[in-house]
Amino acid sequence: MVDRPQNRKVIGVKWVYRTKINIDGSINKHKARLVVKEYAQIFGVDYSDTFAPVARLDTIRLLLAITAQENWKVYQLDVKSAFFNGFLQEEIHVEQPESYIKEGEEDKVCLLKKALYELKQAPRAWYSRIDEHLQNLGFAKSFSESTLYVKQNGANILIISLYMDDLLVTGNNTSLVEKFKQEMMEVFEMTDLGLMTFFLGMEIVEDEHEVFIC
Amino acid sequence: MNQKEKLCKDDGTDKIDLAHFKILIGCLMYLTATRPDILNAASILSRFMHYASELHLKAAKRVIRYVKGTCNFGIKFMRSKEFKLIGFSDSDWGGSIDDLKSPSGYYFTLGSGVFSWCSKKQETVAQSTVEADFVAAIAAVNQASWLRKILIDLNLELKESTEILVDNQVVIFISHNPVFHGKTKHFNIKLFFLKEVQKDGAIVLVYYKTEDQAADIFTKPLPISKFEFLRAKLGVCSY
Repeated sequence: MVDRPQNRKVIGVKWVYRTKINIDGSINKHKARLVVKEYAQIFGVDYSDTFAPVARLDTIRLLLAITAQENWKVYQLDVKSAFFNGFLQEEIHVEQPESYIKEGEEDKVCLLKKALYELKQAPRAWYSRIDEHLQNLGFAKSFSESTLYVKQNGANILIISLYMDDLLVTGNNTSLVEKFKQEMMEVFEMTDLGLMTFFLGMEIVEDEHEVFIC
Repeated sequence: MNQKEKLCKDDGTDKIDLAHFKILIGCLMYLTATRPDILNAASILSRFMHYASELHLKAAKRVIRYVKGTCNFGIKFMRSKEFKLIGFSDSDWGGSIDDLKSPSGYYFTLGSGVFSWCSKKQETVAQSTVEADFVAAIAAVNQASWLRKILIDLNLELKESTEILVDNQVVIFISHNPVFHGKTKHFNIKLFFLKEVQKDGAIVLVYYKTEDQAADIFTKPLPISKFEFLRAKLGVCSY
């Protein structure tokens, strides 16, 4: 919490409520998320670059074709509230969130350390964070596809494909995959979705030397 | 798609609600992520996004009925004996009625199911079948070089050169020997590009019979029997 800045605009925030529903229609969970009113951000002042790469479908299908050939398993991980992990390069002030306003300090504003959802640079901040983290873990980023990471360790290989907060993990050594999951969970809050069954609207069925997508 | 039906801009039938049509096409586009067999139909229909008529809607509905009848279809990747990257490219000269540009298509497999495909109307008007096939081959070569880079990054050894199968022998002849010729002089740059990539041996063009050319499915509507035959070749089947 800081004093209201004189020369900078303070961006409003609001609460967004969503209900997640299971496939059978029952209620999975209620979600409340604090978002920024991004339309108030000014280019060059509050943000500069906003793009973040995602995996191409071609690459994902290529990976699946390879896993069918090599009989590897593909695992899917999901980072919880991924964008909250991105560090901000810009100084951004937001209003205090509704119903969490501190009494006696109504005029103060919050200075963001990490990204909030709907912030224009949130996807990019997240991408640079995960990019740095994966490279620190010893992964080599592919030049031709900036969301593809490979770690080669002797005969063992571990491949990661990144689609914003979804990670596809595959390789010829299951213990390496497990180790990677542990390494990730130490830093980020993750959901382990197990074997890949549903990704970007694709249903995936894996069998011995066979992968079917529809 | 109906093979005989050639859709064009002004077909005389009434215009329809564009918003509805756009939503339909958007849904079809989304399905092409796992259904290359409807890619060409989606590509053709999306050309009429701004002036859709009754006839276009009828065609779109037929595609949707086809999808409904085959909704458990997808691509199957299997272990293959020959695990290597192969590309196929083809074009349909003057296939688009409104501007006589040629749709071209290509796809890539690693021996079993397709994993990368494209069906697109070319940006320039091709003056001959050779030129149309040429432009299609170039698009496939570009994609092939990108895929090769990814495969190298994935530490998969690429011992052999990547073959791109085209169904036009002339394309292959002149790509090895880019002679100055009245009919080729206007696409010289592409000509020399194809010669150059083949010189270092990473990618080569190989002739392939037209009848077995599954890239046909990405360039024009086909009769049912041929469509189903080529669809199976792509690895599209029910689980």
